[in-house]
Amino acid sequence: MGTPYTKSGVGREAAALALALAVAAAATALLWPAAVLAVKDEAPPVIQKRHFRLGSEFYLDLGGLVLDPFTKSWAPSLGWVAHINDHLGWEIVNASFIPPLKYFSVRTHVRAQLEDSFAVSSSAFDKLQLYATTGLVWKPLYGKFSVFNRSNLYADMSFTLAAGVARYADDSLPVFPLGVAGFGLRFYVSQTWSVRLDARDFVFFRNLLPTNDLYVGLGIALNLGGGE
Amino acid sequence: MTAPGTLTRLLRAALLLLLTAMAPAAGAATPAPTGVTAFDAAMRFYYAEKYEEAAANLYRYLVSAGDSGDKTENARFFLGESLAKLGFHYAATEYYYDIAKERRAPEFVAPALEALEKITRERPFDEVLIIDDLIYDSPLGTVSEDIDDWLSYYRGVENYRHNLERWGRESFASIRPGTHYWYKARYVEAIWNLRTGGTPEDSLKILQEVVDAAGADEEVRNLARHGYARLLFEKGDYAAAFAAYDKIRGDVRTAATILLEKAWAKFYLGDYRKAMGLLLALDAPMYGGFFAPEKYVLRALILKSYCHYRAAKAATAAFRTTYAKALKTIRERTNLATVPEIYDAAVQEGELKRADAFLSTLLIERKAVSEYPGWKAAGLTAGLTKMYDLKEREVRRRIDTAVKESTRRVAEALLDFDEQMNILDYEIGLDLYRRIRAKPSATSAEIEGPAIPKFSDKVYYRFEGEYWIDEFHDLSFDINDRCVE
Amino acid sequence: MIAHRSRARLAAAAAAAAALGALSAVAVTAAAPGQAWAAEEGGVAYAIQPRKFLLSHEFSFNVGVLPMDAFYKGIALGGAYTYHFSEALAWEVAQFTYSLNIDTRLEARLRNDFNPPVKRIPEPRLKYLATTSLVLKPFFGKMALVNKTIIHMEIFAVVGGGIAKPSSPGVRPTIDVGLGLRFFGWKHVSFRFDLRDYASFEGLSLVHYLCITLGVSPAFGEFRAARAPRPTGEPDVGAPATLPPLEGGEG
Repeated sequence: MGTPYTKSGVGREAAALALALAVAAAATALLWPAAVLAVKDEAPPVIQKRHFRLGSEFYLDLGGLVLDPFTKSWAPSLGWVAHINDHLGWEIVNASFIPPLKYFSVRTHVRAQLEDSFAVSSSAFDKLQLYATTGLVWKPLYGKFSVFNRSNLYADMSFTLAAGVARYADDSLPVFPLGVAGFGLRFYVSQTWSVRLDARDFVFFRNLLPTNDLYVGLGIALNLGGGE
Repeated sequence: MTAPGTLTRLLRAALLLLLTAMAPAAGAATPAPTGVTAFDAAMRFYYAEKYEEAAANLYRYLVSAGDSGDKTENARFFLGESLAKLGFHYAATEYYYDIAKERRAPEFVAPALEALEKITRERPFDEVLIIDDLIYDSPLGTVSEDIDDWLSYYRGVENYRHNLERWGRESFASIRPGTHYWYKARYVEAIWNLRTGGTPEDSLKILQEVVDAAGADEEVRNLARHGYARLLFEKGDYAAAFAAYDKIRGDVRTAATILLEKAWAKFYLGDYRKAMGLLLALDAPMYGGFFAPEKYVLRALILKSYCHYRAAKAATAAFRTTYAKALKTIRERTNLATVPEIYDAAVQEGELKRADAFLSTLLIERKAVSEYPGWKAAGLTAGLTKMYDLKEREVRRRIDTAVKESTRRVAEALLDFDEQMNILDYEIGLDLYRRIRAKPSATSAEIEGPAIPKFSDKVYYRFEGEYWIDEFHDLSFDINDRCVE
Repeated sequence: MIAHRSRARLAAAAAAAAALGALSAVAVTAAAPGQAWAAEEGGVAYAIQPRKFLLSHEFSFNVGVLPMDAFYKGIALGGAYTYHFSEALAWEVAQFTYSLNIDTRLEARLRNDFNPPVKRIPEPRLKYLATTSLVLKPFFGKMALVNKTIIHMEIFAVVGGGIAKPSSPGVRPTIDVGLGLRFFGWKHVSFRFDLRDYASFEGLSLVHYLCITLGVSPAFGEFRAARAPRPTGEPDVGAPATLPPLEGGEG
């Protein structure tokens, strides 16, 4: 390949000029020790020119409510999050409707035994019909993974705190309060699309003693705005 | 000690308003104390660590008692202390300076000098006031050993600046070995050795001594490391220089300088891939104000060396885009200091850098004065505002005077780089033409760089435009050599 | 009865598998096929950094939950020894999880809320799990915490087998699959989050125990691979260096 010096006089001259200037500046500066800046340099951010930024996010999750002892439900949910900045967002709405169809609500073996062997009516069991919440999303972690040392997989982690209302099917109460605490993991496919893993603990305040259920879901999210 | 936060100050102001509103409307409000009463009140506030109230009362005392009051020097000293604790270091400096210069109350001279020494060590300060006017120009009597070291150091530096080498040496000789100022003096001696044509080896020895001194301040050790690395570079020992650069710690500007100098070291070592990586780090937003036109030169040179002609052309074009406005201003012969790139470059080093830093401090402190509503009645707000305004005008005048020469040098450098870029552009075009004419198929041949393993004890993060601060020194280019003969 | 329980659990396992599949799909999408990146005009830049945690012997201590059974929840207490062969592969030689079981109110609800009251024959409860597994560590990375601090991490997958011991006599052969996240704290200590499904064979059907744990893992000993000279084909990029520590950045 050779060095720039043999191929190009310009290269040599440019290098020499730049070096001379650098050394001259250094020699002048070095005589007088640099002062400490009183306006303390703010610590620069760890990441600059972040690759993925979220603006307005719309997502579709498919997940299940898995802790109820009598019924496991598939709860497809839609959500809309307005991302205020890189660390905070407002989940304007997260809502789900569980259709009264066979495969969306699955009897557990306990319920099956109660209904089949003990003649308990199916109306004795609460069936979550729908819920809607609004809350805050805190996204403290953003980063990347090296994929076989060839490319990067970008991800972030978030925590959600939300409140809303829920309804059981055939319930006398139209709705009742609901509290949610959640954890999410997102993998970015592109600026527009990302894949989400979501785990949320729902606390239902239907009765005197609240009950809870765990939601685990996988979804896809569409991002509008934000940009790099 | 840092000034109270904005929220605290707002709460104080609200509380003050509320208390004022709630005060019984029984004729006139309680008159503010003056004279000795004000002084006594101030000292009670001071020892209760209520520095805002202490300052207001001390100022009232000074206004009422003038220069001839019994407690004038006391009041000046404690006013300086109160202001320093609230973050008004320049204002405190003025009061300490008065005490040390006038020496009317010897018992306060030593603590005033100690306070000034602390300010000069920790933050930008008024060099003309403290060094030229006080330290260099005034007898200060018997002082402690620490203060004596400080005075000797700055007197020595001033002597060297005025080319009074013998006096400089004498001043430095009186500094106690192994102290903070002794190491700073050694650093100055190393640089002076170079300025007077001494051998780099002698300077290297001195700088190594400072670098290795565990007792030396980290600031001076970093300066010494930087000087050491540069000298090794000058000597042509690029590998050692590169290793020395790795040990340097510093602020954002220092970090940018280190990256650029490391890139040059790698360039001379022939490791162009690593040099390119270091240049890429300089494009990070945090280094946006760093003046470094040679990064474009270096980048274009390296890319041309690998026969990546389009990328090389892009590098020269990037130079022109970045400095378009600056070059236009230079050619139009208008005021160079009005161009942010040129001004930033001019204040990047040396005396101007320190003056610029001091000006920034002044502006911040000046702004904070209005956040103490309780000072208005005492007249302290007006007094401090006037003090800061005057000093700001003076510092700006000093900067304006010095910046003319500095911007001229920057402008000349930019024009030179522009000229080099023109030649590079021509050379790139010529090289490309020659290669295409000589061997049309050669452009499709390449020598691949080493393969990147899928798994190894190192992790490879592909750079995709996102800058991670911990990666700046680890960036490297994976680039194929297209110059197949 | 078992079929219903198994169906629900299988659905959960399928979701986890879908998650892993989605993750792989995202990874494959993000990782373009192995091309000559360097042939791109101007080349491609990489940040090349030493991997954290190149230590061979890992001992982990975990605590978590086994939440799936309706009649009891298990507090999972466990530990494991893992031998790391390389950056990508490890063998969890032995992993033991004890389930400290706590009754839910379901038994009481069945007795009190239903007419006639429902009394059931108690089913065996999980006592402990013991497995040995292969650990795959394909993804190493880092995250910025509120853009001030860097935390290095790794995603790993686990597959293996062993036994589950219920409260009834005998043991059940078990397969375990799982995913995990490791956070590197210091050179010899990391923290991990594990999500595992233990599928136990009860006759011809499967009983699933989902286990979610957090753990701390002290480790020591270098890889044998790390001590050997590196292949000459690796790009020579000089000694890896880190930026001088600025406040808040990785120190």
